Amino acid sequence: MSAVSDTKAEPMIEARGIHKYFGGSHVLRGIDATIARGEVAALMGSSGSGKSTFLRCLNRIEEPSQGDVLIEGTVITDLRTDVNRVRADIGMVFQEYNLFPHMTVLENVALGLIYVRRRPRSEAQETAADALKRVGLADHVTKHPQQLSGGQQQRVAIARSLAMRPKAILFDEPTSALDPEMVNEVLEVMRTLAEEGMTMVVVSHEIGFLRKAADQLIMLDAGQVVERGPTARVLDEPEHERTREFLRAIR
Amino acid sequence: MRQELIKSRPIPLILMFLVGLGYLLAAPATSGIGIAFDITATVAVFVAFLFLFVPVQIDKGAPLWLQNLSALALLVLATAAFFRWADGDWGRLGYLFFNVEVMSRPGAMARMLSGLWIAVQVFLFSLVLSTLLGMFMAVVRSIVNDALLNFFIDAYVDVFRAVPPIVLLLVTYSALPYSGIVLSPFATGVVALTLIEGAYLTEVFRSGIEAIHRNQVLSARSIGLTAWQAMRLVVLPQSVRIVLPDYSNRLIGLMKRTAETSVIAIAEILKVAQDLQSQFVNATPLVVGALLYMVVLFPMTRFVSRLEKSRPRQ
Repeated sequence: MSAVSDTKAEPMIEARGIHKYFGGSHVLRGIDATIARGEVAALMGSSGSGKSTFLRCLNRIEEPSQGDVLIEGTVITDLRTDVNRVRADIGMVFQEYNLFPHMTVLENVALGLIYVRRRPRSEAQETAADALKRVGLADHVTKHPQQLSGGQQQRVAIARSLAMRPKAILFDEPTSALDPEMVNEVLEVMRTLAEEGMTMVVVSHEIGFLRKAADQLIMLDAGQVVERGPTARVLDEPEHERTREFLRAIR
Repeated sequence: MRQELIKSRPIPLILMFLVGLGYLLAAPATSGIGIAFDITATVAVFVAFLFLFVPVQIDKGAPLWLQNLSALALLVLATAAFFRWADGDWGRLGYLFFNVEVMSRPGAMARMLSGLWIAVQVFLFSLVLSTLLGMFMAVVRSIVNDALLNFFIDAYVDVFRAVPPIVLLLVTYSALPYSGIVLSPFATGVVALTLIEGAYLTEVFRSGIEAIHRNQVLSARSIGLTAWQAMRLVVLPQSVRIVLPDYSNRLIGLMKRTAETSVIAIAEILKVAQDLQSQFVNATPLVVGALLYMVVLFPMTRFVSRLEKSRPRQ
């Protein structure tokens, strides 16, 4: 967590000219992005702008049609890359939580440690319990996801990523499926992570949260970057007409 | 008035039952005006009985034993009426189909039971093999998802679902020896049933796998699990719960289908029963065979309907 300054030269995540075609439609049209170690980058844009698809290209849950993704300077969009290793190092939190309903909360969080990191079961469960404590769910380890509220389930999903000690975590609209009163408990956990120096890429329209936590804001439209810059600058003095329109619409 | 009509009256009901039964057991009138009277009287017995019977059944205050007992009484009346009117040769029927003496001849029951054991063996072997086959096909289809491979799997499923088991049994049994493959009837039966059952189970497991939302796989893969691990640890445990009722129904069908292996001389229940039938010139072994199937299948069907009630929601 303190190694922010010494390896600054290499960005944590770098995307170069990412294109994505779904059948005939050209969803991503050459997107570049650089996210430094410990930085929080936000992706914004209306639905269909390609923000989720771009996010998913970063850990190759979606395969980019063209272009490269680099993690700590290493190209991962390569046939020889062990994609499972890459994904183990980059956490992902989904809009719909996507917890495993047939497992307890603890088993959900320990699964990757046991089968990907090959940790002994007892050690994995300890680590999982620690991660759950960090998101404030130490009392719910033996429950099943269905017994938890949406906000609690999303925090379990964050713990599931966190337990793997990832280099970065990708958040795909983590609060969009939540009831309004549960949004804050999730954003609170995310802000703490940001303060602790976790590299994060967040698709979110929670302006208040982004203003406090995000260093960089990237505005996408029709598969292209229309504007990017420090969060406050983009929010307060948007240069592009499309950004202004969008910000007006979501406020 | 309405209240009066639906009030349950046990004592009149019991009296009506006794009177009705008494009449039905009395010797029937056989000719002329007597028959017309007899029909009228029989109908009257039932109308009067139902008039008292229905209120007992709908009255929520009526005790359960009374409701059950009166239902039994109705059944007794119906049986009495049947025997009174039917022109049956009951002695012959009993001798041919329910003949205890025939079944107590030396070796008869022992052979029937060995038939049961063989049927259960055919069932268990086909069950295990077809489950493995169906699960394997469905999993491969989902994970590899290669167009050519999918075509072959779908072709296998379509072909073997379109062949009646008894036809496949006869064809494999008579054709295999010419290909140089010599299998015992038992092995041939197991292979044929496995192929057919495997095709159905491929579909059962495939539907279970497809019922799991794509996001579950995405989520599993995003942790770094391989496709196989995601299938084994995340998808299949959920799929199996979903398909359990369908699967168990197939299982019951498979047990019944073991009877068809009798056509290739596997000495299972039906084959043994038919052999005994011609040997003794008596159909009782068939009835005993039917009972043996029920002994196995009744607990299975009970178990399955319990499973269906506890089908997981979501």
